[in-house]
Amino acid sequence: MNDDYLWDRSGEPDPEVERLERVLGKYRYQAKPLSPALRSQLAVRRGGWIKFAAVAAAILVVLAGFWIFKTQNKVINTNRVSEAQTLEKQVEKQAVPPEKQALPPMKENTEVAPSLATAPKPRRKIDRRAGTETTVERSSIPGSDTVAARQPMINPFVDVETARHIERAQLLLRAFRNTRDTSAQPDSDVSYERQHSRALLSNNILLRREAEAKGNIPVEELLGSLEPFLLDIANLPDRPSNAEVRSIKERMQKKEIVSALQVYSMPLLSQVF
Amino acid sequence: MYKLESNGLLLVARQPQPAVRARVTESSEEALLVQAVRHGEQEAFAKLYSLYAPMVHGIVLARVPWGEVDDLVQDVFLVALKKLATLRDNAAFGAWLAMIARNRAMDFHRRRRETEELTDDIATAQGSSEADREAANVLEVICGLPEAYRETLVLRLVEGMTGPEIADRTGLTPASVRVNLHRGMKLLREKLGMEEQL
Repeated sequence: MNDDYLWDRSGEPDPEVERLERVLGKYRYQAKPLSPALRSQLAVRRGGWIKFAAVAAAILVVLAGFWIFKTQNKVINTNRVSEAQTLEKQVEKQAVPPEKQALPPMKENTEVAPSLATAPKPRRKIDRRAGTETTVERSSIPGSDTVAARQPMINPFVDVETARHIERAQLLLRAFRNTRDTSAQPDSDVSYERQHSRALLSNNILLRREAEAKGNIPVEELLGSLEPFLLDIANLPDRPSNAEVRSIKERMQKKEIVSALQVYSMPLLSQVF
Repeated sequence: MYKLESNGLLLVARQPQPAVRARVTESSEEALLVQAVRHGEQEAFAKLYSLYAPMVHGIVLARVPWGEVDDLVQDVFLVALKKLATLRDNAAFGAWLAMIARNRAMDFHRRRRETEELTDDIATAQGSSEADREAANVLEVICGLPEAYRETLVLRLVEGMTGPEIADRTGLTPASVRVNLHRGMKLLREKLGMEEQL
């Protein structure tokens, strides 16, 4: 007998199968609404999904915040580099007395400002670097206030003490860079820089080791690269030859140490703390 | 599709039949529904429930008394919902659900044995009319058949599913379902004929 009807209800209907279908039809499944237990289970699943989504969203927000923070820091650091360059130019201009600025350019190192020993104004600035004069000098630079207002937060890698140290070192190196090493004046007077460098050197070693112990690699590297300069300046004779001074200056320029320090120092740090 | 090669060999290119293609599409839709249920979509679950409830009902009915079936069907779906995370392949949902239904029916008997002795006529429903009695009698005979036959026969004769539908829902091959139907029907005819003679 052909069982196509039994298989898929095609072909000639089988009367016996039809009768059995009819008789057993009373046991057929009748659609019923979902039981409360099933509904509550579904609600739990839905709730679980929402909780998972909430946790995922929170993680995303945190990650996004971190990314924005990092990006902003990068932008600010770039701004600081350009600001540092502006600041250097400004300091160089201020370091040259007006009567000297009017003089014709010198044969050698014409861009270098006169020595701090012969230029009292910049020397005073360094002596009172943490005082009001520093603030006045910075606020006089176009855009520095804007940067400070825009980004008052502190570099996350640098603690307050390190930041102050970096700032002092930066001012020292700038002052040293502005000393005269021309042939017009036989020897430079760098006694102040030398003395100040010695003080900074011991502090630099301490802070570098501290950064090393904390695993703060960026700061450790920065202080590590600063150390040779402090060492060289600290070991200069009372009246070093122009060649000696020029050699340090050239290395400073080559390593771009002042810019690197500027990146890690904080704007208006002394105002914040 | 036939093609005669130069060496005289007759090649038969197998084209998927429309019914098979329809089943494949249906299965992928069901897999999508399962995926949606995983994400907690209530509507998807309701749809999946309406699709598979007859199969679960049939599998359970082939094993436990009719009066207990409805509760067990809900119970099977509850267990499935709780264990859905353990299902690896969404497309295998039907076979997985059928397995849960069989296991729940076995659990039911295990629990019943612990509390009361199972009598022979427990699978039958008490009916008042002649038609009810006949229905209970036929169902009892079907439930006395070997497991593979009774499940397929209940799905076909009680739930009204066709052979291809049974194969698609339970995950069995169509050939197995066809064999089970054919042999089961033969056995059922024999048993019912015997009973009529008695």
